[in-house]
Parts: sequence; C-alpha cells; structure tokens
Amino acid sequence: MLCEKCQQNEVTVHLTDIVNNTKREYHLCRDCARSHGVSIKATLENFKNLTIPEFYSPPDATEEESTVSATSQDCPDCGMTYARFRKEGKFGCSRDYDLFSDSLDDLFGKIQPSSQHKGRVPARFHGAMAQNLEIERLRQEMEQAAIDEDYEKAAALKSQLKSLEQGS
Amino acid sequence: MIFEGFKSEVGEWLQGTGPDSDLVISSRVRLARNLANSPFTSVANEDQSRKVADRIGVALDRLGSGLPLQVYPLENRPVVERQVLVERHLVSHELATGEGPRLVGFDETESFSVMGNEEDHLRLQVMKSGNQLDQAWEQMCPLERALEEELQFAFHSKYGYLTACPTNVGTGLRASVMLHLPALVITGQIEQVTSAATKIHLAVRGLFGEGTEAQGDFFQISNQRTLGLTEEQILDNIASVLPRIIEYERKLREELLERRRERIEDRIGRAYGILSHAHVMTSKEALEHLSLVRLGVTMGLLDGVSMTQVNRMFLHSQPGHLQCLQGEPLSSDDRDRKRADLLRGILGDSAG
Repeated sequence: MLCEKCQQNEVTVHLTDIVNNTKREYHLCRDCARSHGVSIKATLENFKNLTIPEFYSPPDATEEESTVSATSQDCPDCGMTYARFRKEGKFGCSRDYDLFSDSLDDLFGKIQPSSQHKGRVPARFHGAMAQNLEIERLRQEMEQAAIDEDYEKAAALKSQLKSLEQGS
Repeated sequence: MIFEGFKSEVGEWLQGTGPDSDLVISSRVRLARNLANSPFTSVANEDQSRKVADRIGVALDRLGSGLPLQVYPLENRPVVERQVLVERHLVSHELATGEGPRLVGFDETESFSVMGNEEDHLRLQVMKSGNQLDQAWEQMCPLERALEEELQFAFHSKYGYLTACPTNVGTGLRASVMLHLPALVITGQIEQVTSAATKIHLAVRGLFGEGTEAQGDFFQISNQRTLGLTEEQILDNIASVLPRIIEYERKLREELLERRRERIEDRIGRAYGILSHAHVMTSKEALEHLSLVRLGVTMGLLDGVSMTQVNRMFLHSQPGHLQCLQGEPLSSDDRDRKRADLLRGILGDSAG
C-alpha cells in the first residue's frame, strides 16, 4: 500500500483522527506523517504510553527533546533521566537533586515559595548550615561593598569567603 | 486479625473530643523522610526495599522503649485488613495497595503512625481529635528527632529534606485539618471558603485526602507548599484561616436555626429515621445521612444520639470495617445490607 499523500513510499502510519465527531482515516508514510504533525516518536515507540500532546508534538520539538535528554546526565546511582523525571514527576534518589539542579529552581518556583530550605535541620547538618548562612551573609556584604565602591573591604571579604569555602 | 489488635473502637482522631470538635473532626501532621544513600521506593529493587524496611523496623523497635508500637509488615496481609488500616487513616491508600516490602507501625491510641516504604521511605504521622494542629506537631517533634538519631535522613543544604515528589521537599511537612461544614454546603457558601483557602496555597480535598472528592460535607484542608517556609509558618498559615472558617460555619448554623429551623430539623430527623430503620444502604448514602445526624447532635437537635455513636457509625460502616466485623469478605450487595443492619444496631442502642 502506498502513502495516500505522496503516492511514493510504503505506508507505515495508520492514523484515525476524530474531530467534531467526524472520523477520518489516514494511511501515510513516515515522512508524510511527520509533515501531518504526528510525532515520529509515536511510530517508533509504543504510542499507547504517549500523552496526546506528546503524540502530536511537532517533529522539531521531538528532536529538540532528544538533544536535551542526551546532554543532561543520567543518574549513575538510580538511572533516572531528566526526561523521565519530568514525565513522571518523581525523583529516583537524593543525587537527582544535584544532577537536575539547573532546572529545579524553575520547577520549584511554580509550586514552592522559594527553593531555599528554611525549616528544621538534622543535627549532623547544624555546622554545615550555619556555615552556609555565614557564607551567604559575607557574600551579600561583599556585593554591598562593591556597590559602595569600597574595593578594599570587598577584597578582604572575598579572601575571607574563599578560605571559608575551601575549608568546607 | 489486625482488627482485634485495636484497643478502641475508633482511633484517636475520631474520639470526637478536643477544641472545636463540633466541626473540626481531626488535626494531622505528616512528615516525609528518606534514608540517606538509599534509592527512593519507586526505583528501589526488592533487595534495597527489604533493607530499608529492616532498618526502619529496627529503629522503631528502639523507639518502642519510649512509645510501644505495633509494627506489621503489609505484604501478604489480606486486602480487607489493609482496607481497615486505610479507613482508620493509619496507612495511605498507596501503601495499602502497593508492592514490595512495606510496613506500618502505630501506638495503641492510634495517634502516632509510621509507614515504611511508601512513596518515601518513611512517612510519620500524628493525628489528634479536634482542632489541635500545634499539639500534633509538638508530639511529632521528639519522635522525628529520635528516629533521626537512629536513621540518617536524606538532607540537602539547599533543598532540605529530600523526597520523591517535589511537592513534599524541604520540610516534608503536610499539615491538615478535617472539617465538617454542612451549613456552608447547605447555604452554598462552601465555594467561597475553598477559593479563599486556595488563594493562600492551601488545598481542599475530600475525606481520604489526595485524589478524593468531598463526601458528606467533610473536607480536608492542607498546605501545598513545603519548601522555603519554616514548619511554624506552614502551621500558622492553616491556623490563620481556620478560625474564620469555624466562625463562618457556626454563624450559618445559627442562621439556619433561626430562619429555617423546621426545614433543618426535618432533614436531620429524616436522616436519623433512615439510618435507624433502613435495610439496604450504600456507603455514600450512609455518609450523607451521617453528616446530617452529626449536625443534629452538635446543634442539640437529636437528644437520643451521642457523638460516640456517630463516630462509630462513621467508621464501622465503611467497607473494610464492615467485612472485618462480619469476619468474611462480602459482595457489594451484601455489604449494603450488613451496613444497614450495623447502623440500625448502633442506633438501636439508644432508640431502645
């Protein structure tokens, strides 16, 4: 059977569209299916697992998505990928928080008031958290010194910060 | 049978006592924690989950010297028993129906409960009757500290306590109150409360929390935000809105009595009549009538019925309890008949 659109290639995609109760069937080759707006992912993977927006995601977006998941690192501890995390919405282990940290501020911004923990701290972290707060305080002071053009003070604070951070 | 292991007919949260218990049924705080250096439950293999469950079991045993806990593994437990635990709010639906090594622990008052290998390795929960969110939190703190000493929890200096779901990260705290708001529902004002709560980032849900519809005028209000706030701020946020809801509901109840007394007495009387005389009843119908009877009891319109009876009916008429009391699994039709029998029986104690 030849593709009904280009009449050249073999049909690989059988698509049933129901729009406003009108059923329409398409028999297309891969390339024409793409140009029809059907994600190539749907023809390659088990499309039952795809959500409707994923199914109809334009081919460009699919390619973009695959580049993203190729560049973001899979977790060596639990095997979680960023794509899977975004799809299922659940982390696999503690390490994922560091691996995906670049995108987390954005995500947490939508559901949480801030991405800095302000609640209780386990006893074993008391020292580290106190130091974090001290580093943050010095950094703000340094920035203020730079704004005030007090470069001597800023330099002193910078070296103080450096030794604190190296010590940690 | 787990059911026989319960000390009282209903757990602490359904005692019907505590401040504002005419409309605040219970208060609950829950903490989500994971063990450091172990993958979260959803990606852990059987062996890893077993180790987590074992470590939690040992830690709970040690805790047991200060607080005697009954600890049960959940796998291989009959469906009905697990359902009973869900109905008593000791475990979540997710834990009851999950797979792999899971456990539940609770004290004899059923105030404190621990879930092992839920979505997070540990879910700690304290429930109190009435408006006692702060007291529940006070009770939680030393328990969490004691467990933290035994088990190192996954913690991040930026993100706080790490959880499987981004909606729990940070404090891991979910605080909630269960409210009975029939007057707000009858007068059609409930939407106002719901939208006001949503505006300050509180979620309004049904009887069994996440994913459940409100039934029989029972609502659960809980915090949605867990990161970037202190635990006290989270509790204060709920505490700030609660008195207004309570006041609103009470005012509407008074107005109902003043303006539509006959109507409301009639509805309550009919609900009581059906509960005490029907022979077939679904759980949904039972809950609707129970809501009105509960309203009647708190407004002093039903002399012969006590809150203890209402709470017993409320819990024991649910499918798991019904089947456990019956001692055998029942079909849906059988349950509806046995439920009606049970309700008649409980009310018969007073109706004579």
